[in-house]
Amino acid sequence: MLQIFRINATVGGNIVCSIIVAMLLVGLTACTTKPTSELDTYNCWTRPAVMGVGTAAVYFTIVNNGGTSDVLTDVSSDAAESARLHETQIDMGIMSMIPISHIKIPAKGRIELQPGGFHVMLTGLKQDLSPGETVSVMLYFEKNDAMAVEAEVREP
Amino acid sequence: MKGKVITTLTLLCVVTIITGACTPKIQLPILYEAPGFTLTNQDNLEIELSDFRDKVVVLDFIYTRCPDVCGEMSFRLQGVWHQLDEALRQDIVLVSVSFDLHDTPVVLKKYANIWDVPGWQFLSGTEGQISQVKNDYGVIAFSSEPDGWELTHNIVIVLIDRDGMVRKTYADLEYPQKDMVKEFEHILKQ
Repeated sequence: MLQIFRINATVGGNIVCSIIVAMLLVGLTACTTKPTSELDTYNCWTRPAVMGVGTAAVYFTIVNNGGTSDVLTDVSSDAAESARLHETQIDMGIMSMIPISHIKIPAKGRIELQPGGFHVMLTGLKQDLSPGETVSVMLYFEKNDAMAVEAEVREP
Repeated sequence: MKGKVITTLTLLCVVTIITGACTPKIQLPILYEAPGFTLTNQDNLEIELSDFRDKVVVLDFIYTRCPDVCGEMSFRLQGVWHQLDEALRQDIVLVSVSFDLHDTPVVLKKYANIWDVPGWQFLSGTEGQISQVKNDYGVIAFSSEPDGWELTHNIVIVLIDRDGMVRKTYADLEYPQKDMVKEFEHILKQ
């Protein structure tokens, strides 16, 4: 009887342990899965460009539907050797483009990447960007999952 | 009957006066003679500003590795060109001078293929030639980092009439396109 109890206790302990482990796993998963639905992107576009000449700027709007702010920390694209976050600054009529480390997206707010302001800078284009085509750009965030956006090649 | 006619005429006069007063007149006085230059276009041909005498010239300054402001400026000019009457388009030439020595005729030839405006001239030159043109037209362009290819620059768009006289300079990317169309048309119709 005692043996049976011990066996049951062992089985019971295993079950409890399994439940605890499962709960921990669920908890860990919940912590590491970022709510991609918090962010939406709209109107993603870039201008036509020629491989080997010039560069391209990708523009889009990010809407943060969530209650906490997030930060766009990095970008990448298979269409170019390099993709960076940039900002065009205008001071006394003089334009300069500067690399920036991040763009903060406020809670329940939006950020527009647009000509003369924030943009994703593609350098070393690996392909021509012709009207009607699309360019894929990966966006990496501090809290939300990375997301791919398809930028339509078109005139503004 | 006579009274009605007088009243109608009076009303018409008032409406005409008010409409005239409310419609902003385009005033583009002669500012100064456009400084001449000799540069090389995307087809490796030597081009002088005076080659375009009898045409209206829209001159701007760009570099092809500028993806944001220069691209936007070129698209705006292309947009303005497309909004002009077809007959007027024959009499206007878009001329873009690159202030980046990286922009050789070969590079500019590829860049020119992006745009949908026949006859658009993309010009380059030696360091001395470009420096002179920049000085003459008040263009500021420099690299803010050693060996950096990204250039800090201002916006300079110059409207030059058929007689080679500067009639307006634009320094604002946000200048309304519709106003630009009207001003180009105004000079083209002179």
